[in-house]
Amino acid sequence: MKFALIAVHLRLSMYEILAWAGGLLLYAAAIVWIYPMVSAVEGMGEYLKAMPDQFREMAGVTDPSHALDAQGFFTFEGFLSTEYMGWFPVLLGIYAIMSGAGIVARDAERGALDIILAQPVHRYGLLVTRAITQIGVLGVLTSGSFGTLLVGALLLDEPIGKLNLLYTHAVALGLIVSLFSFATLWSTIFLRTSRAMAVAGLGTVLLYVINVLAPSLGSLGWLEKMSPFAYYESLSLLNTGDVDPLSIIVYLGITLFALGAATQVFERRDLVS
Amino acid sequence: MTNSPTAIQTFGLSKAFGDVLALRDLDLEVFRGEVFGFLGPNGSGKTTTIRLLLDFIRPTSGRAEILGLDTRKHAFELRRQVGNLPGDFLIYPQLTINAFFRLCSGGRPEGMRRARDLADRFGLDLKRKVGTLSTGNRQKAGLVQALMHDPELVILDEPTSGLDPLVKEEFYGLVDEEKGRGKTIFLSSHVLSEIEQICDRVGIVREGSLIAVEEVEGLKRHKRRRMAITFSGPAEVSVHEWQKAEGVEVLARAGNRVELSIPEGSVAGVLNILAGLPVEDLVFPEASLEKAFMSLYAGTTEEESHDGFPGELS
Repeated sequence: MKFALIAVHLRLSMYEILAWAGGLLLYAAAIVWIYPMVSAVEGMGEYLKAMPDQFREMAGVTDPSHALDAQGFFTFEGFLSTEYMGWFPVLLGIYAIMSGAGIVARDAERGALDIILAQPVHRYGLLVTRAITQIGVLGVLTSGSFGTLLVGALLLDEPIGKLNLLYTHAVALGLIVSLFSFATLWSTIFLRTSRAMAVAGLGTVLLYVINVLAPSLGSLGWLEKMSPFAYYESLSLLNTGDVDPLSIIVYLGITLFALGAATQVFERRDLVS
Repeated sequence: MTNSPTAIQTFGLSKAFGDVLALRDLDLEVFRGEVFGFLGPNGSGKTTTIRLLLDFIRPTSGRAEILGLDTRKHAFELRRQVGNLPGDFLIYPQLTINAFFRLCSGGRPEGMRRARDLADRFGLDLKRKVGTLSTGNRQKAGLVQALMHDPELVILDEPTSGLDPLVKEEFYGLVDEEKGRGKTIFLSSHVLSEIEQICDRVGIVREGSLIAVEEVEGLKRHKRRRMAITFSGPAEVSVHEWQKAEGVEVLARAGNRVELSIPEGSVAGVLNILAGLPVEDLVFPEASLEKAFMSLYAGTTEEESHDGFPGELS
């Protein structure tokens, strides 16, 4: 039953997976392609330094000097962080929230749950199988991004720490999976895709805004740590490869809590959307 | 699995949705090997009962057993033994019927074999996508998935909705076969003729309460029957005289024609009165379940429920 569920889930999600994979890979390839042109433009360093702190925070660049070389030009890592890796968890996070919000709600809406759960499968079995499959899909998409950037760096002959790039993607995946789990919880609470997507999406945007604005709120700066986005520092990861253990704990904690709660809610509730 | 003689048993099963009590203290017993019809109009609590039995929704109070096992505690085990066809089901339109059956087969080849046999019998093309099927064909696919595991108990919610008459007959035949193999069928319906044709017993539910459980034949016996007599010549029988037969009522008298309402067991008394009278024609149709149902359901008399039975309850 579980293999059939996985096969059906992948089959039904095939086009959206391909669309997101294609979009992300094109974006990654385009960023790599334009780097040689942009890196040679004088004044980009000044441009980066002139940005408001909040904008730089959004691009994962807390200290602009880390993104620039001695001459004030973008380093490959700095450019990747500013133009791609800073946005990557946001972009893939949108897909994660969309897929999480529909993970069981979509079936409840179309009446398919009554067929699937009449088969010998536990409710938690259905939810966990679907969630693990979708986390696998997110992992494959993240791996595709890693591979594209790695090949691009090799083609450009730009030295980049392979492990640094890998760790950056791994931490980004942690953030993306925690967003997916958050949306999955709402899917089980509402059993309505649009409502789950709205609440999970709004919550995520709020957390993102907190991450961006909190550092400039003075005494309320501690709010930043309430946002999961605060634990993903793409530039630092690309430059040093040092993974903050706290980020792993936070993302794993959110994921386990949200999926655990989702399982409990789905097990106990009436299947009425 | 236990050797319980009952396929379904509920104990004070109730379900409320907010302030609305959808099902009230349902005590129901369905025996193994019987075809049980659950009859009532839309919104009477049929689907709520089925969803409680299948553990899709949880009771506000009371409990239920299927094949001797508690439906909540043993939901997983019971799914191996229970086939289900939901009312108005929709499944992934992108899947072929074959992929849909594979999803439901749980990887068991015997399930797929039976699914193919049944699909063949219903004339289903396994290569067609579910989204391209007509309502009737989708219903057929649903029936196949309900029966493909060879379950001990089959629960069908409005199983023939959307089926054409020929396929309905095929379905009735299939129900007969399953019954012959010792399987239990529990079906909800608001089509009275269907219940009459295939069910052994019927439970009638009204506004969330079970108001009667009867054998179909027994239910019909509860009904008063009409007799229309036409005399070839003058036959002066007074109302008082007709009423000598116990419970008989005169519904109409016009010229040489009289219409009587006769309760079960009073036919002999009427025939005694008719003996020696110049009877030209006598019409005494069999009691229909529809009339019996309406009498029970609405608490109406035959006169009130006489005209315009549509055969379906709305």
